[in-house]
Amino acid sequence: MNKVLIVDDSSTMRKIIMRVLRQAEIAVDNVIEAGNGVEGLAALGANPDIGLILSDVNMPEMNGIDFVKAIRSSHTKEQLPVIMVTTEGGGAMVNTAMELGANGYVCKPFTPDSIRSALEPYVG
Amino acid sequence: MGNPIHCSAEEMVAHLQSAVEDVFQTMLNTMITLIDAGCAEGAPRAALPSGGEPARVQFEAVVPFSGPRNGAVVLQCTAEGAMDIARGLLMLEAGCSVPLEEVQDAIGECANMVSGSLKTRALDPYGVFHLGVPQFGTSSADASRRSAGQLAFRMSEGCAAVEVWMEESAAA
Repeated sequence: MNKVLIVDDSSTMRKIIMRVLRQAEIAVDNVIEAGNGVEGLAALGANPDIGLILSDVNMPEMNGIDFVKAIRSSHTKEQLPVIMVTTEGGGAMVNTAMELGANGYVCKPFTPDSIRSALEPYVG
Repeated sequence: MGNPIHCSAEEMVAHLQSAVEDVFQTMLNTMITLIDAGCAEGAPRAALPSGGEPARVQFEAVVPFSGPRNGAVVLQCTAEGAMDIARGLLMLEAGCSVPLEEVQDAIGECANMVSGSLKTRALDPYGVFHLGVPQFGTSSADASRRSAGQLAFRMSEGCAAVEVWMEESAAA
């Protein structure tokens, strides 16, 4: 796996996800952080070799729904998997994100196992 | 049209307790000890013990929700409780100091997760609800809102309380 982009407005959650990636023994070369969808798109533009995105749903400026929509205008689900990491498990916003092209989702609170299961199809 | 949320006050408190335990056990690896629970009017800080003196709430995060009923989930912590939550989420050793801005962010994320868990249990069965992003220090008294349930609990260090506020039903 090359680069992973973590998009979440909480720096605490970004740190937790990075720690869980290590605990789940998911091989990641480099992790890039962004605080919302706008920053996420900028990070993607600056790092075209990002291979996987983990994104929150509820964020200021640009939420996860609009972020996925923007990504899918240039990348297919196969080219760039996006996993939503959200408190809104099974809610309307997750359903919308899936319809717009998210590859999967993980509900907060989560265990390392649930992250590993969600990412397994996309990491080596 | 009456109240579209048919969950009783007792059920709401039970959902709140399950949501808090879910977050604290899964993400902080911490057991909580319930101090008080109920649905009495007033801020949950009243339930926070502090050795006979009024509890000092140092950190507060508010997660608004909208839908068939609007409201908010409020997490309030003593300074020790907030530091305990931050250390738990960040998996830091006991006694390790965390910068204030990181403590505030951790409290916001904790409130966010409790709100999401509560929404799944207590709100989603009654319609489409949306959570807002956490806000800080904004739970001023609002006559249009009433407490739908609250609980206070002790962690390994410090205390915290969570309360659900709901606006009175607009449709009469």
